[in-house]
Formats: sequence, C-alpha cells, structure tokens
Amino acid sequence: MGVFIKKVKAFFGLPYVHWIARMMYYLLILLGLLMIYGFKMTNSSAYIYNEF
Amino acid sequence: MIPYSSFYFFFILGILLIPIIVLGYKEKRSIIYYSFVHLVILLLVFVSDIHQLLSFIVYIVWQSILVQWYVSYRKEKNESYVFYIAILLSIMPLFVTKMLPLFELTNLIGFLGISYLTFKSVQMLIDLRDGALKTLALKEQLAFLLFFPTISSGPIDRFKRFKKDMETIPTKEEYRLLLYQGINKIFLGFLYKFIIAYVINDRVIETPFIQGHTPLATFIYMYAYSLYLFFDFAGYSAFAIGVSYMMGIKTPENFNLPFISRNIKDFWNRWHMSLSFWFRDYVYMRFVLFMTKKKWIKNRYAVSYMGYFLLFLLMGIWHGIALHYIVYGLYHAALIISFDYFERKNKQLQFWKKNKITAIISIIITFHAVCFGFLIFSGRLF
Repeated sequence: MGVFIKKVKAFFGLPYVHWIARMMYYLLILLGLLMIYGFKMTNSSAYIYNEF
Repeated sequence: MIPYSSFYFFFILGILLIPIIVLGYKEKRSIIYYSFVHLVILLLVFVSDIHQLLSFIVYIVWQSILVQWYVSYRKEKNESYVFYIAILLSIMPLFVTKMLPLFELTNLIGFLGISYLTFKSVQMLIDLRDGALKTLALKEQLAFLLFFPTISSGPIDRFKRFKKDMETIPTKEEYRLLLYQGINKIFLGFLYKFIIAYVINDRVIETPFIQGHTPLATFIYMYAYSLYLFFDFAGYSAFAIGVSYMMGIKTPENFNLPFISRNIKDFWNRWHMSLSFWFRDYVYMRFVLFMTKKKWIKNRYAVSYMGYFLLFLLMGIWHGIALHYIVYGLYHAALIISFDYFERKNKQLQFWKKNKITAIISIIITFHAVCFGFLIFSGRLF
C-alpha cells in the first residue's frame, strides 16, 4: 500500500502531469463559466463587501 | 463599474495588463504606464456616477492634505491631542457616510471603497505617530491609497510592505512565479465567485422555500448564506490578490480555510485576515497598551476582554449602524471572551485534552457558532 501511494505521489509530481492537471482545472472552470453564462458579457451581482 | 464584477471588466483589465507582463519578464517597471492603468481603471469604476467620482476626488485631496500635514507636524512635535484630531478628521468622511442612512438622507459623500481607503489612511497616521514611519512622500501615499486592484474591498495592505514591493523589481524568475500564482488566483476567483457563489445564491438562497420564513428554511439559509458569503468575498479577494501579483505586488491574503478553524480565535486568524489584523493592531493592541500604561484597571484579563469588546463592537458598527451588525459584533466579542476564559480554565484543569477527536469536535462546534454569527449578520433574524 505504501509503495502504491509513493508511486501515485511520484506520478502527480511529474512536471508534465502537473501541467496537464493544471490545464484541466483551468478548462473545467472555463467550461463551468460557459455553461452558466454562455457567451454573454454578463454583469454579475456586486460583491457583498462592496457595500461596506 | 464595480471591479471584478463583469467579464467586460476582465477583458479591459487583461488588455491593460499585457504591457505590464511583458515588462515584468524584462525585469522592468514603467511608473508612467502603471499610473496610466490606474487612471483608466479608476475612471471606469467611478465615471458612471458623477457624485461618486467627485466624492472620491475630494476624499483623496482631503486625506492627502491631512496626512501630509501630519508628516510635517510630526517632524517637529508629537502632541497626543493633535494625533487624535488628525484621526478623527481622517475617519470623519466614513463616519458621515455610515450615519447618513440613519437620517434617511441621500448619501452624496460615500463612494465605492471609502472604508478601505480610510483604513489605509488611519494606518499611515498611526504609523507616523508611533515613529514606525519617518517620512511619507505624497506620491508614495497616493500609490498606496490608489492601488486599484484592492481599492474597492481590500485586502488591506501595510504601507511598509507595499512600499518595499514597489521599490523592488522582481527578477525574471520571481516575476514568472508571481504571474503563475496570479493566474491561479484569478481562476480560483472565477471558481469561487462566478460558479460556486452563483450556484449557492441561485439554486439555494433565492429559491421560494428558503425565502420563506419557516424554521427549516432559516436553518438551511444559515449554512447557505455562510458559504455564499465566503465564496463571494474569497472570490473577490482572489481576484484582487491575483491582479496585484501580476503587477509585482504581493498583496496579503484575506482567507485561509476559515471553516476548518478549531476555535473562534483561530477563525479570526483565517477570516478576512487583513481586516481582523488591522483591528487587532490598531484598535485592540493600542487599547490594551493605553490601559496598561494608565493602570486604571489592574486585572489584565479584564483589560483584554474590554479590548475584545471594543474591537468587535467597532467592527460590527463599521459594517453599518444597524441592529444586526451591532449584535453580530457583540456576539463575536462574547464568543472570543468565553473561549479565552475556557482556554485559561482548561490549562489549569485539563478537561479538554488535545487529540484528533477533540480537534474534529472543535472544528464542528466552531463552524456552527460561526454560521450562526453569519445568520445574525445577514439581517434575517431581526
């Protein structure tokens, strides 16, 4: 079990795996934005702390 | 236009940041271009409302005259009453802005970010009084006050730290890391504000059931609002910090996983950190030092509790002169004083031992106590 965890950690420590994971994270966020807002220049509601 | 509230804002900001990024990679910084970007963004923010724009300009002139006058005064004298008058004059515009709604008067003085600019100005006055700041040029003061990424809602930076970053041009490698971290934070901001906060608000808070005032609806609302408040404000902070990083300024963090706090003191070291540290340093610490010096009350715990009471009362009032904000402040004062008493007793009696189980229970208790505080803060109860 310990060897397996070490291998998984080493795999995710590889620079290209890290880079791909990061790109996937960015893409998923962009996809989420696209799903919610489409291509409109949406004006979101103000931030709560802007009131203070 | 409110900073970071629309994709249009990000589009303009992205274009304006390109030359800054190119210069950053060349280990250069153009103050003229920096000033130009600030001018464009500040005009974008304030130009749609002429009252806000005028108030903002008058406010900046007011604070500049006041602080620069105090700089020259402090070189020769250091009278306490002059310092207190300077502080009162600095706070006055914010005080008037907070008072006007009580009299149902149109607020022509307030503008977006007045609170955070006031925190910065007061900070400069106190640092000058303490001698932590010996000199302060007008251009340095303006650069600190008008730093656009944090102008609307912080995080509240410290002048000395900000100045150091302004004077230090990062190396290519340092800037590459700052840019990488900045982009990460901006994406985190999109995830927090535009996805998670949006979904919580749209799919939970704004639903007819939660808008109804049944006990179950209020119970769900308490957790939904707490999470919404976090993702909304942490999202804004991530944008502000990310853009600052891209400009080569390491603006301090505002949040550090606040919902896994083990106690209420831990929570205030993780939630809206720049504000809580500001209140700790410039209200609580100064009050405790003042009281210790005067020796009016000999019990140091009593002095500390009075300090907490003052800190949280002021923090509550700062949010607005409304009952729910004041109760919110007092609630947190009661929590932190109770916890402090509990911690002292526990040191003597050891009834709450530190282990994994008590740590998990502590996190659960703190989370619920904090969420109840946000329910008060939301104004739904009264």
